Amino acid sequence: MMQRFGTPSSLHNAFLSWLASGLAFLSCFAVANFFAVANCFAVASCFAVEGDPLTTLTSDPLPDEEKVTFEDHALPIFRARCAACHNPDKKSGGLDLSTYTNLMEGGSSGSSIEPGDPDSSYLYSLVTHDQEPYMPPGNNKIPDAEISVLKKWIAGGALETKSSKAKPKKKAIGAATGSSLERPEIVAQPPHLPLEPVLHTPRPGCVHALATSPWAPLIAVAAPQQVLLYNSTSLQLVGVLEFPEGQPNVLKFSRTGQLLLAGGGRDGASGKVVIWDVSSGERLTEIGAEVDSVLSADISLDHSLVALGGPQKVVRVYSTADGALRYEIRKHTEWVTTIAFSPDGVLLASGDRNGGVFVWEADTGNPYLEMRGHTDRIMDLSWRLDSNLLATASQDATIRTWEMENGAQVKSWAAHPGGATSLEFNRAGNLVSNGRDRLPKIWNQNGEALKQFAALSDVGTAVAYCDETARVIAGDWLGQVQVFAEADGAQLGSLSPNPRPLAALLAEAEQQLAAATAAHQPLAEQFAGQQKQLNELQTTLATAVTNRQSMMTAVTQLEQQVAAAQQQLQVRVGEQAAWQGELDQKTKLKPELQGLAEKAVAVAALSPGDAELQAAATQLDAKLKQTEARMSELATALAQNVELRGKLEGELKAVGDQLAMQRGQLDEAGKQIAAWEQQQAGLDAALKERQVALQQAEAIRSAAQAAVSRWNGEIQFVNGLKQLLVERQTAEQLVGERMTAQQAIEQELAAVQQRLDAAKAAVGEATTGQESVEQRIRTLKGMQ
Amino acid sequence: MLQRESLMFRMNWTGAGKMKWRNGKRSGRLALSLLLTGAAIAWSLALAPAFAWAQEQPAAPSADSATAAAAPSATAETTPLGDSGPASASSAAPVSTPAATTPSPTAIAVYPSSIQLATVRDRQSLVVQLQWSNGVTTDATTEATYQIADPAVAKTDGATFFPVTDGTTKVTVAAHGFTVEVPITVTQATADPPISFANDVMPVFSKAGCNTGSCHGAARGKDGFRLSLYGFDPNGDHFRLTRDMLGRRINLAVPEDCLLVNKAVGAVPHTGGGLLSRDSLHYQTLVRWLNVGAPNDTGPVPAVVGLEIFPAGAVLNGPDEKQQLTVRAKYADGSDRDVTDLAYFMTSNDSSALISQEGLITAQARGEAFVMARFDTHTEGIHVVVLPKDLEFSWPEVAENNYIDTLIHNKLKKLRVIPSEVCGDEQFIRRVSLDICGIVPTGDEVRAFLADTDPQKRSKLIDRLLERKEFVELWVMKWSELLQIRSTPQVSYKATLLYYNWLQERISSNTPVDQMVRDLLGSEGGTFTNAATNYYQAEQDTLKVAENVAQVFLGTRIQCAQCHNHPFDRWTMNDYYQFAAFFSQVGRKAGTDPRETIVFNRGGGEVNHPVTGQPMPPKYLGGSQPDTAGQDRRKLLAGWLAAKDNEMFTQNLANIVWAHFFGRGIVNEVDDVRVSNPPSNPELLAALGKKFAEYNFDFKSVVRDICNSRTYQLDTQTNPTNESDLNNFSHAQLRRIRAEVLLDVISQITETQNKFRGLPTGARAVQIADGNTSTYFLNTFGRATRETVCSCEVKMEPNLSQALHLINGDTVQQKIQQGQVIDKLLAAGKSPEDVIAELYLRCRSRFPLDAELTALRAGLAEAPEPKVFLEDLFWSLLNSPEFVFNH
Repeated sequence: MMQRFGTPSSLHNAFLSWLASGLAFLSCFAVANFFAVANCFAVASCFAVEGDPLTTLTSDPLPDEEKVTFEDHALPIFRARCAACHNPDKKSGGLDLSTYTNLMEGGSSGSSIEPGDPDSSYLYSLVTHDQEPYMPPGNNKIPDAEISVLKKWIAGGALETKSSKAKPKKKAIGAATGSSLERPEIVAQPPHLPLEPVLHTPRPGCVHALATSPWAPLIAVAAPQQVLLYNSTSLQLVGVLEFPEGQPNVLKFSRTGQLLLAGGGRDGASGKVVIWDVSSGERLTEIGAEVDSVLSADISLDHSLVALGGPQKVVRVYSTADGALRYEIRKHTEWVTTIAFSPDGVLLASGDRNGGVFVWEADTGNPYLEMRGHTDRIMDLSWRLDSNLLATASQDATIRTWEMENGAQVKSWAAHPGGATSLEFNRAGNLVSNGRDRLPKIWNQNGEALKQFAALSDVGTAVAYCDETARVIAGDWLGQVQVFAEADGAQLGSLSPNPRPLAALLAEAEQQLAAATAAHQPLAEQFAGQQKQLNELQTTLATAVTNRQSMMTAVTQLEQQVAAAQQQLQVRVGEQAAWQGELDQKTKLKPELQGLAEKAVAVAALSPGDAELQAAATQLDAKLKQTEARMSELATALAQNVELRGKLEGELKAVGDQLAMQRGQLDEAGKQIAAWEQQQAGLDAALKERQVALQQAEAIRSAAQAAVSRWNGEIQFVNGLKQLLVERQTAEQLVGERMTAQQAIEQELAAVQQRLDAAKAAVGEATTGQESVEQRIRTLKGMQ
Repeated sequence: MLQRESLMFRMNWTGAGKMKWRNGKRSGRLALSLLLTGAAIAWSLALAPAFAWAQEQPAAPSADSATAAAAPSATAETTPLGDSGPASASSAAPVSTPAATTPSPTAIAVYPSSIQLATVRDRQSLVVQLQWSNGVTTDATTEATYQIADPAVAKTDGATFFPVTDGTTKVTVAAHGFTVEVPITVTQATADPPISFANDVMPVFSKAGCNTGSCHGAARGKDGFRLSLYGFDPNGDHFRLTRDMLGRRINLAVPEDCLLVNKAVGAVPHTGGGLLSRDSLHYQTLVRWLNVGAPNDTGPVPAVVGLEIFPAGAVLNGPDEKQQLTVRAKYADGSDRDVTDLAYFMTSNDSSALISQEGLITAQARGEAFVMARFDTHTEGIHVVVLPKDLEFSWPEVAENNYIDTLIHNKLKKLRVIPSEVCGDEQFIRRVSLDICGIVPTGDEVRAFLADTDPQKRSKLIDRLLERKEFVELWVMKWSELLQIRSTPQVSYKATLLYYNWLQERISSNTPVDQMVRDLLGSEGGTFTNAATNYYQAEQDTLKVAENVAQVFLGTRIQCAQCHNHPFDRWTMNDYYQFAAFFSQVGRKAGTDPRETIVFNRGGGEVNHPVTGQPMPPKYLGGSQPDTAGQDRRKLLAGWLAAKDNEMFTQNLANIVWAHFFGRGIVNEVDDVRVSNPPSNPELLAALGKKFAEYNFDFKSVVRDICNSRTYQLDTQTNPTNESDLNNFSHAQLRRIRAEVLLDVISQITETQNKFRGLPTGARAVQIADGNTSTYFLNTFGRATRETVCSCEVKMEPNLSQALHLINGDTVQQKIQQGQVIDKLLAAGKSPEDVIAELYLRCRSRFPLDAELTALRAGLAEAPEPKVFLEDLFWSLLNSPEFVFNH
């Protein structure tokens, strides 16, 4: 209740804003009363909130003080219970209960209602089964609650309407200009529209109707209580139009794409046509009051006429300007299943369940042509854009084309075994069709199949062609809507005739976000861990490389040492060999020398004086001694050299060992580094992968995030719009009421003025009379 | 004379034409005609001759004390008993105990005798019937207590049982100190099988009456929507419900708000009204089916193979007594199901037993009714007797001449009806002469019979009549009607005569009927050389031949099953086409004479089922499927048909004979044997059929049994217990004499001759060979044209044109003039009073009553000339109901 009526304060604000919007034509007294009314209304709604809404509605549907009227109370009962027989088409017993005038006229049994006296009202006595024939025939009585409403209505004088009732204002439908062959300058595109479905059901129903805008990438899909708008490029839902009248059975865009028309209703109960403005999403008008669902409808090129038909077997054509019935066509012997104005608006074609196809003059409803040929019910018909060729699809499996000169059949071909159910001419003059064989097809005008699309899940029920995107949209009995590309026949996606509520979408998006976030979290952590690992590895690797460098330097040094030591050793070995040679020489020479010396000595001794000899002896001796010294020196040196060599060799060995060790280490380090490098490469790759995953997860997360905020936004939008609409409706209603009140007062004023004038006139007359009397008196007196 | 005023009143406005015709005659005639013809006009105008005559009876009292003494019956307006049912009501055993003893309960019967519950949705309701010592039954279902031994297995809600878990247990039913145990078996207690279109959804349409002929079952449907009549085509129905009108009848998105549901519950205007309530099981079934996507059955579903209706019978004590029924269907897979809520209930007589669509019988006026339940292709019923409340009744000792009387009395005891007295000799000799030979006794015959003191004189008379040629002629005529002997473009006049002669030879030589039927059905050859082949010439359509054979020889009308399963009988389309297949190989070719056709066995050719298109193998109606390879199918059929053990055949023939003598079959009409039209006395029918076979199909023996029975010889006068009985032969019925016999009798009495085409002058109307030969008189009195085999061809209803024809037409008056009987009698020296007596004996088989004689003497005295007066009397007698009716 709170939502329906709004809180007092919000209402108040609404009024304020509405007032501010400049409807200043209301007179002062109206404004003065306005707040009082508004407050009363608010208070009333508060009371309603306090009580149990259900019991308040049902315990007494008719408060005593409320006027029971035909329009508000009796008509809905008549429509639900009686209209199947007592309608303008059938008029059982000569009685039509669809309008007040006809009801009060009565039927062949005389008047049906005696205002003020239910018990003498023939209709009432039949309904209460006080008198035969009982009504409704063969049925049980209508519910007592409804009988009591009728009783109150008759007892209350059988009023037609509440005098104060504000008629809902219909918005004008602008006349369209231009032809169906040229793109309008401004192509109507839907604005931001609510995406909240009116109804979401466990399973979709049959796809009753599909339509595409002639100039915009826009698809309309019929669903129970709503029309869904999809973008034919993105295949995204772009709007939900409410159709609380029931099930839309037919959808048509006007030739300019400016208007969208839906015909439908409750099967066996009621039907009408609804028209929306595509560029605003506003419901412009409702046309017709059928007693069964509207099955077929169309709007003329200039928007001036709407034609509709259905199980009543009558084509009714209404003027959109005032909603008045222009004419009726009663030539169909069966349900009127399909209707279409020619694109140039000159002709009107209609087909029925008996296989009858007729073309009428659109302006007058006069017969123009009759097409004979189909042997079973007509399911659909479509005009070529030049209005010279009509195509019909029939249950007899054929599609036939007809020319408009004589109504002759041009082509006929078995298009869909079991029955063709739907077809449409596209701008190129090709035909797209659907049928019971589940195979949507495209044909040229000669009936040659150009393309056949993938089989649908069940019997094909509807088809449409989007000229803007060259796509074929096909629906089936199970509620699947597939979109195909004409060019390659590819299945591009599907449209749901049963979209989910925004709250469900939001919940799902939130769930996805949570999941994405949950998926993203460990990914990020793992990424960081791997990153760190890699960093550590890189550090280790760098150290290892440095270490290896220094190890290599050390090895080089050692090698140098070894080389030096080996050189030394070589020197030593060389020295030793030289020295050993010298020693060996000396050792060999010494006995000779000794011998010589001894001989010299001996000789010298022998020749002591021989200085020379002496000198020679001395020399020799010196030489010997020198040699001996040298030998000793050599021996020593040799000994030293051996030692030295040993030492050197030891050193060399030590250094060699060290070198070998160092070399081993270096090898190790090299291997380690190679492994690490490999590891690093692996890590690197993994990390890169991880990074991609992470980026993906992030993308998902942000998409989910976006979805969440989108659905949140849409929900807010819907709620806001709803609120606004409620406010607007309330405001409009109040304006209406005030205006009615104003009119009443003006009338009253006029009446009073009239009375005043009359009174004045009477006074004037009286005065004149008095004067004349006085005159006569005076004359009399004068005479006297 | 108490009705004279009313007679005169009637005369005043109905006799205008006659008065004009008799203009110029003497006024005495008018007075006499007032006395004697007023009644004739009455029978014709009232269109209820039996009662009209019964009312007039006191106005012209007969010599018979039994009828003369009785008060006029004022029950012409009371509702007659309707079709009666089989006496299968075991609980309704006849009791003839003195009424003084206070009845006491003797037992309870619980139906059904065991409960099988399978799957979670199953349930079974019980019916408990209390039986009383005086044979009355009362419904004790609600007052009985039900104790389940193991509540873990099954549970109960009132008398309805539901499964809990698999297992077996029993329920102890207790009422009035009696207890009965009923075993319960539960299997698959938790299984929830998918909904079946044929077995779950279709029965809802049948129950709600959607697929009846007056609604969507009509050939072109109703208001644009058609269902197969009584659901013979489930696949077609599924298509029409789901995908025929795409997107209309059902809406899977909003199942509760689709046209089908809205129409059914009356939420939108529906010519048939609101048939289901939104809280009913039927509605739930429908919506459950829609909610799962309105699927069709993916394969064959178990067929219903039988139907049981409980209790077995009921004897209800007075109006407003109630009895609940339970109906159980048995399926081919061995399962069963309580279909009380899905069966369609009917009653043969709703003025005695009303039946609600919930299966509750409410007793009304005294009488009997056959209460039936239909489900799928099956119809079963029980016999319900309604007695006046706390009726006191005792059975008097009534003689029983033979087995017929015994069986008739057994039934009457059950109904607490006492048969009428035996009729007088005058009535008897007239009745038996008309019935056996189609003649009236001559004055001398009547005199002799009345004078005869032999206690066996009636049976001797019967024997004498049976030997007369008129007996043969009468039955040749009856068979001619059944065999449609008439000339047509296909059957030349010559062939017609040959055919008739063939038949006459058979009957006059007393050929057993079975032999005749075998000769007929298996006939081959030229229609001239073997005239029996004309049977296949008279009707050349294979299906029609099959229908005729079934109707004539089996007494059953299978025509319905040509297009849909029979709504009130057990015949399905399969039965029909399998039976027709016996005649699919009849070949016909031209003979040498252009008028002759040669009928032969083609040895090939099949009959196809119209829905499936499959050839149907021959199968005996309600019997087995023979191997027909290489054989003449017709001969096989004739062998099966005309067999002593074929009860349908023997009982049908017996019933035809019976109906001839009683004006009403034990199954009535005689060619309308069906489950929903049971015999009023099945035991009698069975006995007669058996006797017929025992007598080797000798007509005469059966006729002898019937005519010798006390039942045949009952008076038309009723007593308080049988005055409303029309079905159980507790009194004789008034029967208008059939056209040919009436003409013959008038000719016989007036001593005149007729001339019919192809027959010598003086031939009798019953001898007419060609069904096309007729006269205005015969047409007016409803002679069979032999265009169909229907027993309704012979019209026995009286009507105004008949009465007017007798009064004003050229028959009676001309024949009186032509025959000059009065002249002859007077010329023979008889006194006017003797002539009066002679006329009475001729026309009424009795002497005039004293009161009649007094009035006639007065008239005679007033008349200027006896001859004119006597002619008027003759005319009046021939116009009187006592003459026109056999009584």
